[in-house]
Amino acid sequence: MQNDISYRSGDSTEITYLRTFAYRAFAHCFIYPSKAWISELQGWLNTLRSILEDFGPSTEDMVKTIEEIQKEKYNLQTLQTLQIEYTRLFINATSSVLAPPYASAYSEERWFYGPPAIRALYTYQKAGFALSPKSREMPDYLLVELEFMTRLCKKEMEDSKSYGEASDICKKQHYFLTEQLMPWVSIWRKYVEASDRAGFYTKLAMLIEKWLKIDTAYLTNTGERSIA
Amino acid sequence: MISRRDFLKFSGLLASSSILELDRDLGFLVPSAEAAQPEKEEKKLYGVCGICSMGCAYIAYVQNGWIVRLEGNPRDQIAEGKLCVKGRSSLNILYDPDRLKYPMKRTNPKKGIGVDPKWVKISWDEAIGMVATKFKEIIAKDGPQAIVIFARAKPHLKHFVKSIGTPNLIVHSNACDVSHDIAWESMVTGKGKGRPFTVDYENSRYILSFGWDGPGKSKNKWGRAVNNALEKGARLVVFDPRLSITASKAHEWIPIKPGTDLAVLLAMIRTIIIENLFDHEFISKYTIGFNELKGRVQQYTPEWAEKISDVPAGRIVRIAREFATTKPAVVASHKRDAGGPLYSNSFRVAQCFIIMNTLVGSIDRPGGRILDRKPKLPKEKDFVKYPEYPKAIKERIDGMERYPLTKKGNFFTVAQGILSKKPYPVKAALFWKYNLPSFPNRLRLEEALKTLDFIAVSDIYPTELTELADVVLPEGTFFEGKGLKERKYHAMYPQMALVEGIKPLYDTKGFKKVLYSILKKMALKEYVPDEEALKAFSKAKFEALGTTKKEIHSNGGIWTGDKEFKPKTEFGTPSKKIEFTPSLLKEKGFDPLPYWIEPKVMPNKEYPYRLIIYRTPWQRMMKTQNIPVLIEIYPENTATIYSKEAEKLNIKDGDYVWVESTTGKIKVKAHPSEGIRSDCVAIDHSFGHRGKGMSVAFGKGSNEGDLVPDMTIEEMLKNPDPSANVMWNEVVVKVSKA
Repeated sequence: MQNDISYRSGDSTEITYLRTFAYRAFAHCFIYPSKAWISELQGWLNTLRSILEDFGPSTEDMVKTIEEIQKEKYNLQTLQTLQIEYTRLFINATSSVLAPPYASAYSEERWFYGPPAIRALYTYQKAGFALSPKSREMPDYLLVELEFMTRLCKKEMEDSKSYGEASDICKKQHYFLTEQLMPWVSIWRKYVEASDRAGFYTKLAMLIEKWLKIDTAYLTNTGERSIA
Repeated sequence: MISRRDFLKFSGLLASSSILELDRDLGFLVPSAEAAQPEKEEKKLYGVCGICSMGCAYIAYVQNGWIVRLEGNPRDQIAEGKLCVKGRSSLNILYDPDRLKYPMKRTNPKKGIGVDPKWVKISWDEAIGMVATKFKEIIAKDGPQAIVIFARAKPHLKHFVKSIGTPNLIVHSNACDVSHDIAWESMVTGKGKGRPFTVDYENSRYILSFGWDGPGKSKNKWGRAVNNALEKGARLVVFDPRLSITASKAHEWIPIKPGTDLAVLLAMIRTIIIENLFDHEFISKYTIGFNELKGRVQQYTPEWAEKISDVPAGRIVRIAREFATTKPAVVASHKRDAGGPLYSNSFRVAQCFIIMNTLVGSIDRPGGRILDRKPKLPKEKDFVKYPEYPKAIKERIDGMERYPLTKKGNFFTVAQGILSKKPYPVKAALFWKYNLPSFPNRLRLEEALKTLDFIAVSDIYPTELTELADVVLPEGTFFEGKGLKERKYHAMYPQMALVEGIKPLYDTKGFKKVLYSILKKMALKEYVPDEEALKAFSKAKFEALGTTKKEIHSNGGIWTGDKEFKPKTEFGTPSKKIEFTPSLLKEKGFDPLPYWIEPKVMPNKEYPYRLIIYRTPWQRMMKTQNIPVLIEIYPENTATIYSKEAEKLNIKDGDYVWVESTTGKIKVKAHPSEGIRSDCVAIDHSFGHRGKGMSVAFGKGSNEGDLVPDMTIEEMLKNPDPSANVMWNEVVVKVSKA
C-alpha cells in the first residue's frame, strides 16, 4: 500500500508518539461500555481524530467515520444499548458469540488458546512482557494485542536514541501486525458488521482494521527506508 | 512538524483529564524480565476430570501458565494412566469460545427459549447483590421455602440450603442412582455411608449384567477391568433388551423383555437357594434374614419367570448355577442398569443384585462388590462451627417429604409442584449445572420456571436454561479448581488425588465461593465459614494423611494408603451384618424383601415399542456436546429399531423418524439393527439442545427426555418404589417415517 503518511526525516519519534496514542485510544474505545467509558469516549475519539488528521489523505474516510460516531448521542440513555451489543457481539449470546475478539476464534481449530494465542504469548515474552496476573483474558484477545502494539511503540520511543535499535522494534511491530493482528482482524470486522445492530461497533471495527493497514504500510516503508 | 505540545492542544480531552489519562494502558501486559526467558519445559499440574463421576485423575501439562495437554495419571487406581475420549478432549471445554465468561443480567423482561434476554455484562458484586436482594425479599414475603435450589447435593449446597432455611434442594439422584444407593445402604453399609460402585471386575471369573453397560459408557476403569477379566478367562453374560457394547463382548447376550429382570433374578435367587449352591459360610457368618428370603422366593419359579421375561427357564437355571459355582462371581451394577432408575421395579432389582452377590459370598471379597476404602480424614464440622440452622418447613415443593428414605429431590415431580403452587407458591430458583434437557418433559419445567419471579443460573455454558435466567453466574471448569479428592467410584484402597487448577479464566468463579458470597450479602455471615478455620481443616486433612501438598505433588499427584485388602467381617447396618431383610426398610414401613412388581407400562397396539434410553461412550449427560471432536465422532443420536420392524415401517438406515409417546414427539435418525428386541426402540441420551449459545451442540439430534412424562407426587406415590426412582424406561412409543 502506498504510504501517504507524511513523515519527515527527523520526526519519526513524533509519529511513534502519535501511534502510541492511536493504539491506546482504539483500545479504550473498545472496552466494555460503562458510565466512565461514556464520559471519556468523546475525548478518545477527539484524540483519534487529531492523530489521524495528521496522517495525510489516506485517513480522511476514517476521520469522517469518527465524526459520524461523534454526532451520535452516546449518553447514559444509549449506554444500555451499547452494553447489550457489546455483550452479544463479543462475550456471550444466545446464538453463540457473534464476533469473538480473539485471534484463535478465526483459526482452523475451534477453540481458544490455539496456535495464534500461543504465538502471541511467545511474542510478548520475547519482547519482555508477561500477561498481567490481574487479567485472565486470552493472550490473543484484541485488547491485549492492541496493548502490545502500544507497548512496542513506547519502547520504540525509548530506544530511538539509536536508529538501529528503533529499527529493530519497528521490525517487531511490523511482524506482529502482519503475522498476528491483521490476519484475523479483517475477518473479525466482517463478523461485527454482519451482526452489529447499533452501528457503533461496525464503525469501530472498521476504524481499527483501517488503522492496522495504515500502520502496517507505514512500518513497511520505514523498514524499506532503513535498508536503503 | 507536530510537537507534543500541539498534540496535547488538539487532543480535546475534557478539562478534568490530564496527560496521565492519555498515558493509561489497560494493564493486560506487564514488563517482565523473567518472561523474556520463556519456559522450555512443561510443568505438571495434577487434577481430577469432572466430566463424569468416575473422577479419573489426570496430569495437565502446562506451558507458561496454560494447559496444553492431558494424560491420565498412572498412579490413580481409576485412571491407571488413561483417559476416555471425553476426558481426553475436555480441554475443549476450558478453551471453548462459547463458554460463559462474565456475570450477566437480562435486560429483556420477556423470557423464553430463543428469546434474546439482551444480556449485559455486570460485576460479581452486582450479580451476587441481585441474588441476595431477591432472596431476602422473597424470604421476607413468602418464606424461605419459596426458593428452590437445583443442584447436586454437595456439602456446601446442603449447607447453603439449610442456612437460608428452604427445604427445597432438588438433586438429580432419583433420575440417576437413588435405587442403588438406598438398596446398598439399607442392606450393607448403613445410611449415608458409601456408594455401591466399587467392583473388582478384574478379578472376577463370572460377570453377570442386567443392563449394566459400564464399558459402553466409556467408564475408564471398568472397561479395562472387564477386558482384563475376559482375557484371563472370565465369563460374561449380559441380559439386555439391546445389544450394548458390553453385550457385544459377552459370551451370551440374552435379549430379555425390558422391565422383567426382576423376575429372572428372583428365579435365580430361588434356584441358588433351593439347590444349595450358596456360600454357606458367608451366609451364616455375615448375613441375617436368609430364612425370610428363602421363604419369599419359593413362589418365583424359573417357569414363572420364563413366561414374564421371554428367557427360557432352562437358561435361567443354567446361568444361576454357573454364577453360583464359578468363583468369584459378581452381578455388575451401576446407574441406569435394570436396578435403576429405569423401571417401576428397579429398586427391587437393585436389592436382588446385592442378594445375588451375597449368596455367592461376593460382598467385599476379591472379584466381587467392594465397600469403598477411604482414608480416615477429619470432618469439616470439627473445625468450622455454625449456629443452629433456621427450622425449615417439612413440606417440599416436589412432595419428597413423603419418601422417608431419600430427601434428595425429585426431578419428576418438581415442575408440577411449582405449577400447582402446592403446598405453596415458589418464587425463585437457583440452578447449578443442570440444564432443561436433563429433566423429563422439559417443556413442563420450562412452563413452571416462567412463573417464577427470579431465576439465577450458574454454569460453564450458555445452555437453554440460561435463556430463562435473570442473572447468569459463569462457573470455572474442573481445570480451575483446587483441592484434594477421594477416589470414590473405584476405591479398592484408600487414595486421594491432588487438584491443582490454573487460575480461573475470564471472570469465572467456583460455585462454592458464589454461595458463600450470597450468604454474606444476605447478612448471613454466621453461616460463612471462617477462613482460618478452613485453613486449619485443610492442614488437618494433610496431617491425617501424614503428608503435605508439596509431597503429594512430588509423588505424582496421588496419595496412596495401605493397599492391602482386608475383607470386612462387619458391615454398617444396625445388625453389623448384610441384611436380607433391611431393618431400615422395615422401620419406614416398606417390605424389606424383594417381590415381583410388574412394569408400569407395556407396549400396546397404539404404542408398540418400549423406549430404552441408554448412553454412548462419547457423550456425557448434557455437558459434552459442544466438544467438536466428539460431535465429529458421533454427530447425532439415533433410534435403534429391530431391522424387521423397520422394514415393516419402510424405514432404512439413516432415515429420519418420528418417535412419539403420550408426552411428546421427537424426530431422530433411525438405525435398524439386529441387536435389539422387536418390541423396543433405543435412543441414546445427550442430544437435542435448543440453546444456540452452545454453537456446536445446537441442532444436533433430539432429546429423548421429551418423550418421558413428568408426574405429580400423587402419581409417583402410586408406584410401590421406596426410592422414588424416575422410571426413565417406563415409556411406550410409536414410530413413523418422518
